[in-house]
Amino acid sequence: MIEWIQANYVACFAVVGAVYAAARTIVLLTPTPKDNAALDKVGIILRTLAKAFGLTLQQGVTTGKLKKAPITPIVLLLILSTFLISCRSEVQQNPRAELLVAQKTFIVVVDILVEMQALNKFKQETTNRLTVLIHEGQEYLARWMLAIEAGEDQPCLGDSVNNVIRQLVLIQLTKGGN
Amino acid sequence: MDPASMSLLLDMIVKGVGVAKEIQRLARRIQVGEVISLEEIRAEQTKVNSSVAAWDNIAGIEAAVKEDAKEVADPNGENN
Repeated sequence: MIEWIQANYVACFAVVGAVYAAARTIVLLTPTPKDNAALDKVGIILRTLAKAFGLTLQQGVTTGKLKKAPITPIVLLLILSTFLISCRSEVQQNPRAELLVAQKTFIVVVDILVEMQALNKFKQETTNRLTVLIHEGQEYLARWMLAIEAGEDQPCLGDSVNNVIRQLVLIQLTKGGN
Repeated sequence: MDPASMSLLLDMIVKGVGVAKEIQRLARRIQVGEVISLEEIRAEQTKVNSSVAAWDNIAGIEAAVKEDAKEVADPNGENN
């Protein structure tokens, strides 16, 4: 799937661009302004997405030269962490669920770091710092799990894990481009 | 964007969406009164350990660095 998207994302945007251009023409022919406004909103989203991949919507109907893609994994990490934090609020008040969410979030953050490390995104100093943080997070999660098993609620451990995750994401944001 | 970065970006999207869906499902389970089992938590902790091991492997981490981290997280050695 990933390979397919990688090979065909320009073509995908071309199809989207062509559909958008056709829709644009249709709504301009209709008398109501509501559909124009609705398509304008869709257009903003599509243009933002296309720009993130170094394309323009016009590439759906023309053969313009590709620009260098400006998006970096860092931007996506920011979006991802914001989204995860918003999801987390739904499961607060339930210690077991909160621990499970922290574990899942930690796994994703570490897995992404592994892939970034494979691409040599970090200097040695940053790698060492990340290692200390990752092991801290692992220890906190293990202690939190033991507390839950013992029937104790230890919010301070949750805070410690969240703090580690925040620091990991912050390092990804600031050092990932090295 | 080079193919490796593109692949990383797409993988991040897949992982991000995947975990967000998992958390949404979890929220729904809680809303209907389901209790999260300890087995599920233990299984997830095993995955945490695997991810950390993958990091150690790719980062070529020495034991001393790991011990430093344990010392910070568990200064009294209560978890040993």
